[in-house]
Amino acid sequence: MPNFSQLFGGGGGVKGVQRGLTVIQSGATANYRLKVTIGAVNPAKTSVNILTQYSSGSEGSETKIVAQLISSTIIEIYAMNYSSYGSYAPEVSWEVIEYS
Amino acid sequence: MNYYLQIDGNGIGYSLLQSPVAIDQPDMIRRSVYDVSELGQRWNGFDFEEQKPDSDFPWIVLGEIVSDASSGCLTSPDLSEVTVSFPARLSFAAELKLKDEVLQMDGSFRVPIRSRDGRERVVIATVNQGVIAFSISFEDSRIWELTEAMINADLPPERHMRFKGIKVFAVEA
Repeated sequence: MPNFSQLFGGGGGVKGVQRGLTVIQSGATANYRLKVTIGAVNPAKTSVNILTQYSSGSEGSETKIVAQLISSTIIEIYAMNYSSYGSYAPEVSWEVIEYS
Repeated sequence: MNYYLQIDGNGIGYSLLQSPVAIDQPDMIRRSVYDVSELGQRWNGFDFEEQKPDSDFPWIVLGEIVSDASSGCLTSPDLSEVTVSFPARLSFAAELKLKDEVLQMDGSFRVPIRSRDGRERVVIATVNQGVIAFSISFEDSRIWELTEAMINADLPPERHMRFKGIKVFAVEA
């Protein structure tokens, strides 16, 4: 019996998964953008997942994290309302999934 | 599977990557394992090492950049960027400071600069009573960069220095 991909012509399978852990340096200013290099992917067939949704600083600050694929080899991690108090340096876990 | 630790301009590892794709890029340091303990450590050209407190390392503090060309050069207020029309020779003056005091020491060290196309050149910086001087000729249109990691790459850990880094844009007149 044909599967979904064979019936409808889509690839459907996962071509590759890349995972990472990125530290946003303490002392960074608010609304901090960080570029992270990954192995080349096809942006049209790739999704980015943030596995860290929320983090809280020792000074009571909060950080909202956004990650987006901005080219075939770079994801940009955007930390909003990031506080530079203390030595707080949030770690962001993420994965990039490329479909075939 | 390939493992990399991406370093910033100061050689500090800030992003771990596990990827089926091989990457050939100077700031992507290949690792044999996915080791989160190396995040935040400094790449010394051979391995990652714990950072000493900033207060333990002297700073190279740029004070003046002078061009021998009649058109001079343009510098950003913090001296992190210089734009100069080639051909020109730029002379850099700096101080070696620890806790805001100039270190009264003599010596020399290598200053490697690298362009975006991968070309690399090396000049010697002299240190006289904590005053650092070196000069570099620019003969063609390129963007050159000097970072803390580049200065420290071939120095033993006990001689490492801090440096904010500088870019030189050699432009056509």
